[in-house]
Amino acid sequence: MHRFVQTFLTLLITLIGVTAAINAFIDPYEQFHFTSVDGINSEKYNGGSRISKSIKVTTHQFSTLIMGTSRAEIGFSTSHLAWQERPVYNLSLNAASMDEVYKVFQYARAQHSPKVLFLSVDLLMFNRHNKLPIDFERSLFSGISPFHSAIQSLLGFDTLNQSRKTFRRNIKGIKSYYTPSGQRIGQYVFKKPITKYGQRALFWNALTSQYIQNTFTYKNFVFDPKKMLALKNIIHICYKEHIKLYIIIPPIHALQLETMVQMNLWHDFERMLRDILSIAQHTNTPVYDFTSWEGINAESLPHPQDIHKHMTWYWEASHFKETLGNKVIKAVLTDKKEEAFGLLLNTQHIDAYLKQKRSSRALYLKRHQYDIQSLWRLLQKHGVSINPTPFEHYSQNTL
Amino acid sequence: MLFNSYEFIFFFLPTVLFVFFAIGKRGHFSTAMAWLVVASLFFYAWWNPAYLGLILTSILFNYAIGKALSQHVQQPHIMRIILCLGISINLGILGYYKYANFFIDTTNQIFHTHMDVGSVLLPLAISFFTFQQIAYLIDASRGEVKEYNFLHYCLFVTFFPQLIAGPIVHHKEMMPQFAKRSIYSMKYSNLAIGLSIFSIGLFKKVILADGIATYASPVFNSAAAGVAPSFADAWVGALAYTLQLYFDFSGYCDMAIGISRMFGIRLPLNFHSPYKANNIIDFWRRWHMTLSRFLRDYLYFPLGGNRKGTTRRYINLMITMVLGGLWHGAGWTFILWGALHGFFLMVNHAWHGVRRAFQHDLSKSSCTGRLISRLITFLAVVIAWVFFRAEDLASAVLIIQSMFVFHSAAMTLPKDSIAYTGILLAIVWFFPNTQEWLHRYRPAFNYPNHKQKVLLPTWRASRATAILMACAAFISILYLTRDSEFLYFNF
Repeated sequence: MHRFVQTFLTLLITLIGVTAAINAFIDPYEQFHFTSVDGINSEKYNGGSRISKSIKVTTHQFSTLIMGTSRAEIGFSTSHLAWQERPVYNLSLNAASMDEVYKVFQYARAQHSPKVLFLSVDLLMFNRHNKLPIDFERSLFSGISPFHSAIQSLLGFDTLNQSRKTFRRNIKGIKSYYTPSGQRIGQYVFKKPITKYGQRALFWNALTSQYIQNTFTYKNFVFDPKKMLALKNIIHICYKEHIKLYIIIPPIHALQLETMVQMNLWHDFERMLRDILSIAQHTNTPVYDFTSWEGINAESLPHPQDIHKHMTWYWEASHFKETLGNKVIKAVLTDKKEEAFGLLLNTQHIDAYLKQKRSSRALYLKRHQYDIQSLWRLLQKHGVSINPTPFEHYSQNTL
Repeated sequence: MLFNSYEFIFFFLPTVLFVFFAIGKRGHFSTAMAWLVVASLFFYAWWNPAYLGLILTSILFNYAIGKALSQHVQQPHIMRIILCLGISINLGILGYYKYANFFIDTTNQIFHTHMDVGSVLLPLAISFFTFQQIAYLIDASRGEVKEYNFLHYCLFVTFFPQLIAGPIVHHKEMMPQFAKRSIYSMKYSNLAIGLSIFSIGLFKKVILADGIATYASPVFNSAAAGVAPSFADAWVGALAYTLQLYFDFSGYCDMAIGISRMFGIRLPLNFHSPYKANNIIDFWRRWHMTLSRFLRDYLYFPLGGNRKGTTRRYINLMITMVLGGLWHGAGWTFILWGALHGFFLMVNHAWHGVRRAFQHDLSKSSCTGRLISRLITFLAVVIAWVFFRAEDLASAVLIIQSMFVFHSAAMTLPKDSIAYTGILLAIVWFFPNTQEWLHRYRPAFNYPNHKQKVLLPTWRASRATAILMACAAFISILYLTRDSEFLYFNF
């Protein structure tokens, strides 16, 4: 029995020690900073994880925070010249709900209060089915101690797996998908599928898998008013603590808007805009809407035969390129506007604005018949019945 | 503190073991006991220090009542009053914390009132330590136990391996073991057996239960959102939850038995391959055995058991199972789950009655008969678990409908979920359980060490076994970061 215990403990301690040493050396979440060796562990690939971002906002002080979902994470550059308060960090998180954004914001301001918060708000952030992801629980955002987080990172299978991937990618010389300031680099993320299938295929695939088929996004969307309360709290904190807050409804492609319409989410979208405006008006918080059925957002998809042609403004329906993100930043933070893009909303003109928005759909349908027919066929294939005139009997009372 | 946490495995357990044996080695047995009590209270307070006061008050109160009962054992009238007071206050506290919100919500719904008691947080382990102490009071009133030493009583209630989720132990099972001087010096045999059982339990919990949970949760979450699962999803989801609960609870029990064994203490068996049961009566002799024992001894028997005719027996069974369901949680789904099991037990007893009327020997059955009855039992248990797990009755009905009405909706769970569920079912049905594998070393004090037919070679303290167990522990530790909690902690 003595030998059994000895063998058991020796082997277990050795295996644990080796695992901890590998994870500490490779350091995929940039937590320990022991050493950085080119071609071994210098490039990190987990900069977008909750674990990594929570460590970053704990150890660094940022004057401006960009928050939101993957749209903001990919689209908004931290190096844009219009940022007045620097350094800027992109604290946007993939598939974040408003609850999560509120928790993350609270954590971040408790570490080092920012001067500016650039908050990008999507409809899905108010989806009742949008729950906290598992890696949130493992991050400092969840309230676990840095010591506990470090132990998890040293001994977790996930970290070991990430260490293996980090090592392999470093050997192959692959660049990180993330900038040190938290932005996900679209060119790296979408390069492979675009090169392989073409941008049109990527566009439809992303729309299908993430929105049309996904049970917990558009398909069974339920607007959760409690999540609006989280936004209200953010607005209140920013007002109280003199943090300059900008609320942005980021651009999405017109076909994504049409998908929302056909999947009966337009009521919710308008409700979201009205609710945000009504809570933001008390603190004079600016709310900008960059969604539309025209201009940049109505960019045509490449022809099916032309798989080498790239879109100028969009990666796919939901994710816009940094060039478009730069236009948004410029429109919000400076007075120089090259063209009419985005609108500062207010409660006085919201009804007229929404009416105009609904009517502009007809023009898009007329001008982009090929794309719209493709979308409708796709939706019908997945059991969505198409209503070509959804706004026919639309009035404010239906809200 | 969870057994499957870094702080428990790397800091708490080694420290408590080391200090306990260091003190015990010097012959300070009471100090070693006191150390275990302090460590156990620390273990409890780790979850929420605010509730330390509650468990300490409960211990003080029940100790005083137990002492009073022992002193008045010759005066049945006074004793009965003291016992009633003790049980009522225990149940009152349990009722407040566990059922206040449920009863208020139900009353509000029925009578359209707006009563509000706020959100009452369920203190960890309250169901377990309350039941354990009620059993103690009843045993004391019967003159079966006496405890005048407060430290001993504290240890009986708080001993951390069984504090949070059982087994529900009797005073007479535990305290004679703590009285043995031999447990205060470290024994490699206890350590080897304890580490092995703990590693098996940890593996069951972290790898098997938490692994299969990824297939169960989406189905129940979809149903809760009003989305009917497909035929295949509904079956995989229901079976996955059946297996998740099995490995979760079985893993927890193994860990509790293993940790306790490291201290030289044997806990009672609490879980003995319930899905191998040939009928529902057999199932309840194998699932949460110490709770079944409690309900039988302190509820079913006092109600009259089977001594007052068939009808009363069935009524008693139904009352016992409904209250057993309610013990698991304050909700209609739990009540329905208990009622279903009560109904299954009634059918089972009635069937036995019919067979007896035809002069069948119940101890004998054919291989095919056993196989059929085992499958029927398993199916009944799976259906009942759907109600147990579902968020509400509507989502439970949605899943049950999908399980029995075939429709062509596509499966949304990954295809490997079927293979994974199949593998775990094979483990559950055909492999020996931990007690069977280690039967030579009597892992639980009420488990016989006679030779048994098992598929695998039995556990031996060889180097190969040590390597296997260390690897199981290591893999489990790697996966500790996975989001997880013990299902039985909620009860």
